[in-house]
Amino acid sequence: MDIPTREVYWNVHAYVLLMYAMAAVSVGAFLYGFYRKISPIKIGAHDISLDRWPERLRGVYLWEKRFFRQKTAGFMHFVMLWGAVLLFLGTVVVFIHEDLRIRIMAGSFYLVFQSLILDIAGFLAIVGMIVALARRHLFRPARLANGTAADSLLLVLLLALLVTGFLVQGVRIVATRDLWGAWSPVGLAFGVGISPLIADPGAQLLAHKSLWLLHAALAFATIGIIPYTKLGHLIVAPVNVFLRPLDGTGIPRPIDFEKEGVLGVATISDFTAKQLLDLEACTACGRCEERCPAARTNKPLSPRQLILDLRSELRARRATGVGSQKPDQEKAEPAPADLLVPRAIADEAIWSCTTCLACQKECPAHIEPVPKIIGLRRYQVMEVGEFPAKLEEASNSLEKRGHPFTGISVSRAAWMEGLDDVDAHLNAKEAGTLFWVGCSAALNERTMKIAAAFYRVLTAAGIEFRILGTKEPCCGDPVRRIGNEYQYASIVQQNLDTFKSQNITSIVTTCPHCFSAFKNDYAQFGGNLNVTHHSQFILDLMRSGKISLAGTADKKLTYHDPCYLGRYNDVYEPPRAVLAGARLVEMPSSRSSSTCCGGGGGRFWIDEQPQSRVSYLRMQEIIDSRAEAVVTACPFCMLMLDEAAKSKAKGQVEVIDLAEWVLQRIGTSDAVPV
Amino acid sequence: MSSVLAFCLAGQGGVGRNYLGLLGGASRIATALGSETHAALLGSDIDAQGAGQELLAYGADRVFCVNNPLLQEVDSDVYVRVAEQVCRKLQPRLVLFLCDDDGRALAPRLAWRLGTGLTTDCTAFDVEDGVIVALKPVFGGKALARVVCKSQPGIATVRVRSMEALARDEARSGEITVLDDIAVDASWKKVEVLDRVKEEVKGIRLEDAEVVVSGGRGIGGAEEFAALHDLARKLGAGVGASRAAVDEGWVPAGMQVGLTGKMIGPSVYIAVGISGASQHIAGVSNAKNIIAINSDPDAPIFRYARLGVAEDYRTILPALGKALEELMKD
Amino acid sequence: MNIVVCLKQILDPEIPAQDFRIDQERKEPTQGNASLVISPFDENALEVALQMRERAGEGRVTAISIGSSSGTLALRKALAVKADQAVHVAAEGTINSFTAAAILGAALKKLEFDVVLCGRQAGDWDFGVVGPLLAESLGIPCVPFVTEASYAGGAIQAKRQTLDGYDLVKAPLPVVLTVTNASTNNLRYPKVKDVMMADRKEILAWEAATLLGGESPDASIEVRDLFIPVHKVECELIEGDNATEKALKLARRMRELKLV
Repeated sequence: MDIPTREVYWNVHAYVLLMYAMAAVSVGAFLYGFYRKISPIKIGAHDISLDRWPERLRGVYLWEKRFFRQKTAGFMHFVMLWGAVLLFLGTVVVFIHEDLRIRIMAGSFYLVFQSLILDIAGFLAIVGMIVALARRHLFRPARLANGTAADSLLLVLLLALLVTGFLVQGVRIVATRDLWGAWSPVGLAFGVGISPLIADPGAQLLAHKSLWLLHAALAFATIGIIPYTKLGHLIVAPVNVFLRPLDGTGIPRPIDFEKEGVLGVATISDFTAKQLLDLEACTACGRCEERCPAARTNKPLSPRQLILDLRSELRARRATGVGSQKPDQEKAEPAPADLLVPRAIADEAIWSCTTCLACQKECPAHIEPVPKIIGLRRYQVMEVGEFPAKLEEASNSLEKRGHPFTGISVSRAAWMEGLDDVDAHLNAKEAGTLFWVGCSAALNERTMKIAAAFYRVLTAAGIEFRILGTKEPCCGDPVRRIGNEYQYASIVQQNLDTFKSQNITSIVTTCPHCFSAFKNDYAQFGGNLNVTHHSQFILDLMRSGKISLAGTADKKLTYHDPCYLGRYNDVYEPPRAVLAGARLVEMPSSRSSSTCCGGGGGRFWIDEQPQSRVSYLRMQEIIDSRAEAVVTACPFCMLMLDEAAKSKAKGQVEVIDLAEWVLQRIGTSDAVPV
Repeated sequence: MSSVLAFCLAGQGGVGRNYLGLLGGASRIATALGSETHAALLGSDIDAQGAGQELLAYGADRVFCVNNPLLQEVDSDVYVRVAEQVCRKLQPRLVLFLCDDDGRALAPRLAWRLGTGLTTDCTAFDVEDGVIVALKPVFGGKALARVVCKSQPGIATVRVRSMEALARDEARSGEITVLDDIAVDASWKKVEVLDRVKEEVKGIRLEDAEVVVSGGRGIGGAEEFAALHDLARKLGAGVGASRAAVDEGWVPAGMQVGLTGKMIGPSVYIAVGISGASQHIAGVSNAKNIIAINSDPDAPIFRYARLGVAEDYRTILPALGKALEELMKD
Repeated sequence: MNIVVCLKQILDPEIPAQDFRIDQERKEPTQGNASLVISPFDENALEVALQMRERAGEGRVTAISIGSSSGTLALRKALAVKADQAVHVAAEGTINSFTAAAILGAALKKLEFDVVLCGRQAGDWDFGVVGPLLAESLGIPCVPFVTEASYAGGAIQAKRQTLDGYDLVKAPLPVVLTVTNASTNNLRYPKVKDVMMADRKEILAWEAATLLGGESPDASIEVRDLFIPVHKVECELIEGDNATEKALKLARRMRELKLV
């Protein structure tokens, strides 16, 4: 008895076979359940990829960082997840020790890992479950409001599992007078706690036996029901994280118009297999909805509801067996009864999305609602031809006049008025970097000042660059987000041809939409461009000493992260580094949890009711930060926030672009620094 | 003596106020040309003497009247044949129509029949060395063209309200002739009106209103027009709209102000949420004062406005209505 | 039922005033970077044509356009929204309304037609005469300012816009309708499949000179000058801390200027 260990199956040797029988049933149910859960995703086009697996694994490991975007929920998940993993490992140790007869469950390993660590892990998991139950029933955050009794019942089941486990252990320690019992302090406490009830050794043996059986039954029941309940996310979520698209989160995939049958997503089987797996990975936790600007402004879109509705559709298909076969390459017209919009998904829901990606950055299971919404839009736009009139106008205008705005009075040449050496830059055929202005900066009286400011910054830094002037077309971003991939593909092709013929390989732009398009979307079409956003470019200019900023910072600033710069491209720090000398206050919603300005995904063109304007929501956050000015780095954000500043903030908040802020400090402007 | 002939298409009604402006314009051109001003009054049940006297008082030297029950409606298939006969009979130098729906439908057909040219939607005429030069806004009002007609008679349609009527002068006299040798045949009528639907326009008719409150794309929806009607009620104003608001289906087409809608000339035009495209401005080029309310301070409408507020109309209109009501009480 | 819709390809009417320049030699605006588009009312006419065919459950829509040989954009668009046939009549130089009506009249005599649709006026020169002229050249009636139309019992029923509503009129065939804008006749958005098909369809290519057979109708009008007007109104922008204050100030100024 000198080597610390314990007798496995003490007091229950007679039931080991029964236990294995239960295990077999449980594992069978588990496997069948997952087969049933996962196999329907085969109706979607195959796009499951295992390439670059180390990177994928790393993602699964880093996954838990997402838990902690919400502290309480993060803690709860962390202790429950790691509790489950460690306790499972403990079971594996028993298996190795007893069934493989490799006696590892001994000595200090037994004491430290198998006893102490597992004990603490189990205890923390209990704490986690109590927190989870308390959240559900006492504190009730809004996003959990529609939780079901089944959700709570599962928690009770898990709690019972752990408590019976500790009781089994406790009774054993007490009954066997385990010398090493103190290494399992929680189990010991349970044992000591319960011992007054079972002082008699016979009662102890009986209690231990019954508790052990109960514990085993609960454990195998739990394993068996995993795929049939929301516990399924224990498996599907990490798998989903592992299989996540590695490049260009939220960027829609291109369409091969020669091969594709139905354009976009008409029915559930038009999603890809990975997109369908997303649906099964959802736990309805509601973090997405909590951050979604559409849901927050009471529009008829909730990313959670979208995913759940699609999942119901997928499961209904499984039940009826329809679509269980992989469709032919040449798909027939979708049956009207199978169309998702508007039967399962409301038309207004898919048009309420700003494609801001907040939902995706928030989702612990890496579920991607945005490409699904774009898929649904694609069908409405390209196959049905019916979508919001304002977006039709934008698409038509882009086709007719190369920019998506109607009723504008500004010439594309206007922003260049009064700037030095415009002709030289227009004709600079060989100068490497192209300053791409973008429609939203060129074609509005307010935003053209951003273009002019950055031009002046470039000039002050002595950079060689060229501009396309009135010949500059649109990057196409609006039509891709609206869902006209056909129009988009032709724009991309034209632009890539232009870049090639003019030997343009390096681009800097003040518009994150153009930036992201060239960087991510164009790459799908064979574009190989070196693209920089002006925030990055300015930072490089500062670091290389080409410009230096002076002037005092009087006003308190806050910085608004544009979605297509931040969430789409992880450019969070360069603009902040540029603003290093300012009195910067951060809003609680910043960086990857920044609130959208409301202008992405075609929403710029849709007039929102004042009471439900996303830009007002964001402006309120800016007002609450007590900043006197907000700096942003996107012409769309500028226009949305500028209007909100006037209407909502009554002109108390100034909206400026990073380029303007910088220009005021390099001494080429008469303006007083903000 | 050569003449400038203004067609007054009366139909069943009398001579509308806008024709007095047309007549004023005709009279000024005639003076410059040294010719007479003639008015051709076409319709049914016309009081030739009464209406004729009125036209004389407003500048006509002679009035020719075609009075026929078949002219009850201004049907271009019928009227064009009548107008053709009148022109062939009177041999005018210049023929003027009002550029309203009737004139637009009729004038080109008459030109084809007479084998002559025409200029539409003219806002002014010059006589240079005996040649009549018409000024016509083109390209949605972005440009002006000076157009001459090389054949006779020249035909032109004149933008509604672009010309001032002469001061009424009852002392003026002239000849009123009823043309009873003009043939009108029932078989000419090809198009039958099955139903005449009046879309209910709240409040005062746009054409008559001294103050017009008008809404555009910036209004945001059909219900939102209520705020404009509220203000209009307080001001005794009519309510109009831009083409954008009509195309959205927020308001009936009858409320459209602009190049292809109504041409109005109120003394105050309050443009709310209207960006100010040249096509819209063309409809209010005769407004004495434009007041612009638009949340976008860069909207072109401010270039045409005497007073402007860069603010969301939703907050401005109710406050403005209240303030004006109180001011007017004093 | 055969419907012919006449489409004019014009300089984009949305060209910003700043970019609008005039070529004094030709007395025409310069195109610059602006695009050519279908004249907006012609788009409405095309939509009315498509709706007529849909309502009748039968019929052919033919789109016809006159212009330089490169100008088939309008016709491709018409095919993309499922016009059955497209005819391009090549003609060089400036074509005024009278010549256009004569060319269209000659072309229509080669086509079968029951209804001819035109926009009420082209969004460039804003003359608004081609429809009525065409009716005269063909010797058929003309219903102007139509927003909707349908074919019923061997005749056309159309909604004709009036100052304060609309008339429901009945016209015999053949007839010319000129179309004005309404919320019901914004041109539909083409389906991508149809756009792709349209690119492969043949466009009939005719010559204006051949159609006219040497005759050249003289419009007898001449544009002497084309110029950009200058207008100068100084806008007094009402300032204030908030909307209420601005509204109050505006009310006072309106009172001072005797605008109310």
